[in-house]
Amino acid sequence: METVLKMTSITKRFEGVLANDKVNLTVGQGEIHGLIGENGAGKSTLMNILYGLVQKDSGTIELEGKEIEIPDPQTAIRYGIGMVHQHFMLVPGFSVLQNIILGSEPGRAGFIDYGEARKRVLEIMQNYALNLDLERKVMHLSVGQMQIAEILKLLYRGAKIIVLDEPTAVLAPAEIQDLFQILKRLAGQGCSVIFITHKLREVIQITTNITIMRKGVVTGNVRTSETNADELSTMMIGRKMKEQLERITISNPRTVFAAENVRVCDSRGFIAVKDITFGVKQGEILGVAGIEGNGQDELTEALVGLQRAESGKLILNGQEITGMSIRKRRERGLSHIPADRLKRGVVASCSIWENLMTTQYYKPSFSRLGVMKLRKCSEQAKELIDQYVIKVPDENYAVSTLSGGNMQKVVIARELNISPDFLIAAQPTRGVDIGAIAFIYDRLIEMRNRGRAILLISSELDEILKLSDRIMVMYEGEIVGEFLNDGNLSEIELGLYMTGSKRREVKGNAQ
Amino acid sequence: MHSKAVVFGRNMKTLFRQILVIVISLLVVSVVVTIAGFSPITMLSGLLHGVTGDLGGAVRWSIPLIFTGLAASVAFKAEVFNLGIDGQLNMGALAGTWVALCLSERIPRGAGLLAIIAAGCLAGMVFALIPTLLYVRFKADLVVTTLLLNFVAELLTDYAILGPLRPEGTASQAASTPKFAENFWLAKLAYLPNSNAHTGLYIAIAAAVILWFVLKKTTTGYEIKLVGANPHTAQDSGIRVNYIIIKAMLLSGLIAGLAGAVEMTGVLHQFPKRFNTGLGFDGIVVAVLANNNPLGVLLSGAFFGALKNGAANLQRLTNIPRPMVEIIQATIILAVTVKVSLKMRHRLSRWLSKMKTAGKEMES
Repeated sequence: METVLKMTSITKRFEGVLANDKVNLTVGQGEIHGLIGENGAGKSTLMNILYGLVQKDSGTIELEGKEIEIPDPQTAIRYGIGMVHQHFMLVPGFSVLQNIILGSEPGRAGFIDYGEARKRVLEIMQNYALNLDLERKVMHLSVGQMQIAEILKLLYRGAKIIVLDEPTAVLAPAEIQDLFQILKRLAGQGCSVIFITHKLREVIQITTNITIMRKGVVTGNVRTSETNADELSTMMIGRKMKEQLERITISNPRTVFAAENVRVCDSRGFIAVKDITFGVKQGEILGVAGIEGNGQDELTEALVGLQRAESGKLILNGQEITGMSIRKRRERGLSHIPADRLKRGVVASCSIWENLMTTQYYKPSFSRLGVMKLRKCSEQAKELIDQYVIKVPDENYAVSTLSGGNMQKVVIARELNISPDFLIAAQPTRGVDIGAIAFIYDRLIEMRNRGRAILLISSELDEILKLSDRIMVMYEGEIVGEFLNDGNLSEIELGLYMTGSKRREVKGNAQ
Repeated sequence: MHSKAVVFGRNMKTLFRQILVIVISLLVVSVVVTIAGFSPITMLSGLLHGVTGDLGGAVRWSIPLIFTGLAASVAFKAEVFNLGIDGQLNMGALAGTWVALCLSERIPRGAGLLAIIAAGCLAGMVFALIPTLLYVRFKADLVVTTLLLNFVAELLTDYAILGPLRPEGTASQAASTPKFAENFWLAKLAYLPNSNAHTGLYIAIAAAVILWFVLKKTTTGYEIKLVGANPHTAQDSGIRVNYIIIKAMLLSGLIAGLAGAVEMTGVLHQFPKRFNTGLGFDGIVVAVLANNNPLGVLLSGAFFGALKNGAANLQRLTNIPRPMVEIIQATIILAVTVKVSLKMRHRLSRWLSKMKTAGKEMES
């Protein structure tokens, strides 16, 4: 395989932090090259240097054997280097075609030659067997189609090296497979693809070579065919991934939480949750799978008490909690890890101890006659910081200074340390690094093994399959499928339920 | 120990930054003054004279500004914008005056003062409660309602002066309520003779210390901080956000009412029509400069008190018009909100190094 791109000894320092330390990356023609590493490993910095968004301090970039400088993205594009960002750069009100040609429209004297443009784009689409309605407005496209539009935009500009930054994060399982097909065709036509991800399974499935980064340095460069997930994760996090905790089965579990015919409206008054009924038992993790926006948020809000349920009953430990305040529900054993950490999980500008106390401060151990026992609060915070391995100098630092993983650990510590009977965990590992993910999984399973009930709401199917004892799929506010997670469930099958193309009558009441 | 050092360092940094802001503002105003054809030296020395030559006057103005600064801080801490401090202050002053006029002279001084001040606090609270309830119940925008209620308060006080509290013998053109008994006047500060500085200063200092304690050490303060910084998380944790907002507004109104009552018993001893020319809004500036820290309000209130006094003197002693000094206030607000100071230094150094490398490239 001929080498197309060679980045040698790239070094970049940001205000004292070495983001890239003598990093080497070699990509061959027609290769799909995986670039993996945890958040903050330096992948994005390296790619931003390649795309001209960031200037390297030292090192060289060679393109087809010639050394080049990339001062800005325009130059990168001229050299045939293109990038699909995690957040798409498309104009919603423009058609696909207008988006693709935006900035390099054919034509003369200020007039755009749409006929010529369409001809050129269609040619490319035929070449790579891509399928997309060019006249549709981008705002009416699915996420997967937007991604194709982004890729087309790059091909139209003559990109030979395409960088994809976490392209699968926003896709449903079936769409991921489609994307992989497209990437393979691109590679087959001689394009080189750099695929940034932290999902090991995907990188093993699709790439030919993998470069692994950790803390700004390259810790490995392997052929995909000669490696495995264990080896990769060791290189990625610097130690071996622990085996998952063993699961203990509780005998004669009783139902901890039950929802009966719960109906919830969204903020505009439309019914978002349609008369749902389910129960969670002791020692059980019930996973709620589904693409975001199918009523999961509203369901969570109703269970926690942030929003009123229009009708139906909520029962916790045999007691009806439907009309209770949030604090009363919490005092009766409910706990909540919010999906949106920054919005609902933490108070970013406040200190770590203040964040750890939000559900406890009024209790006699932490205040008396309205005066806080600040020393007690600090002690408790220190204990939790130790126990939950939150990496921070001390409990007085603002939460906003923490990484996503450590921030989430603050939330987890607060919500789990009171040993709740029923935990609602919404997207518990979103935007969290691998080390913290493993830690959070362990804590959840530990809780389950102690006989607590957990409702796990996640848009990551992987996560649902890994943790849940039982899975229900939500689509348009309804439960369209309910399964025991016995190891025989296929992701594709679940995906069909998630996208609404398949639904099963849910038998009666789950009670 | 380490953490205490961190907190102390942070406080020092804030103090340093705010002083920098003041210096910048003075520079800006000097430029404006120069352009307007006056001498900036005259202005600065005139302002300085407001402190050195008339410390009593500076203290006299610091007292209401510390109060209104505290009232603004507690509301801002909870992220509710109480722009009605002026109105609450007026209502507190009116209620205090009214009680003072009703009290018989034989009532012991202490009890009388207590009643006057309590009436002021209560009136301020009630007047702050109205817009708060409208907000909690109907989501009526607090900025709008508190702001407009200032006019209601002003007209109510006008009515009181012309109606129920009109001095005997005056017709409809009464400009003030009658003076109340000297028994209920706060004492003047003996060490600042020939001035209006009064023992209300101690009340102001006590209020600042108490508010500092409330915000820093009590569950109420903790709740106010959480709700102000992120109401969603507070709510999710089981805190009743609306209840905390009511608490913060009541506290704010109480202090504003206190300011009014103290102004009456301390300086004016009667309610002159429209005596309050924006003490409430000055309080917002005081709070902003103090970063909503009650102990910081003592400092920034003192600074603005001196400035206010200096501005009055300036107009008397020189020909520089008073609005010039108001530019200082405006600049300070801008400077603090834009958070120029330290960040700018950072950017400046980066820009300079960029210029240097560019220069080198040009040479080679």
